[in-house]
Amino acid sequence: MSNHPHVTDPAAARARILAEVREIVAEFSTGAADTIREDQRLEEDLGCDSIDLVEITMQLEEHFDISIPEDTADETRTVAAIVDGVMQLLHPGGQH
Amino acid sequence: MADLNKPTIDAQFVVLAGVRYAILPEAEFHWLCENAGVQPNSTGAEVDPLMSTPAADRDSLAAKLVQRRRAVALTQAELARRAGIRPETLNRIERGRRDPDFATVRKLVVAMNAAERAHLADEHPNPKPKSSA
Repeated sequence: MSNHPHVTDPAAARARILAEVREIVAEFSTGAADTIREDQRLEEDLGCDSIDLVEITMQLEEHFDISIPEDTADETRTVAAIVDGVMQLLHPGGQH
Repeated sequence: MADLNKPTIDAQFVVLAGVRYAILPEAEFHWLCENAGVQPNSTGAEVDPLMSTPAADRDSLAAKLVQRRRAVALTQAELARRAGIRPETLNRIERGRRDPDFATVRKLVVAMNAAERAHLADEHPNPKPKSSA
């Protein structure tokens, strides 16, 4: 539950989330964790199909202990969008 | 002759220039190749596997579903029941004739993951207890 304590520096929080998201995406895509870029699209660039997208969503939920709304998951197209979505769920309103 | 325990292949037959051909869903073709240990040699137009189209995604999804379902020896009807979807829906998805929504894929993945865990537990009945809960 508390493996993601409140982080005061949003940039640091985002960087850590990105690293973890890359590991998860790599498991279900054609990319290796250290080569996955934020601007890459899950389907077109990383070869994910709809089963992969569901698996990624479920892994993110388990890993970050969050619940991702279905339409958010369905509309998330890039690695950056995943990171932003997770960031928003973990640190709501944390962009100040 | 017909062995009820064997998986079935849904094929249709056409005759072209006097030669009878079997037409089967691509997912089943790949499954057959895999089980026969042969490499499919496609001479037709190659489609970039990373260029995802709705049709390509449907085929990939169908192939994966069929493969994973058979690996845990579940019938279509049983997987549909466990996932809480209609058997006809699963049948159409596995034939690549339907593009399922996120919620449906999720139900299938959850049911399949549970079946895979149970299958593993059957094969290895005495796993080491996890060190942390």
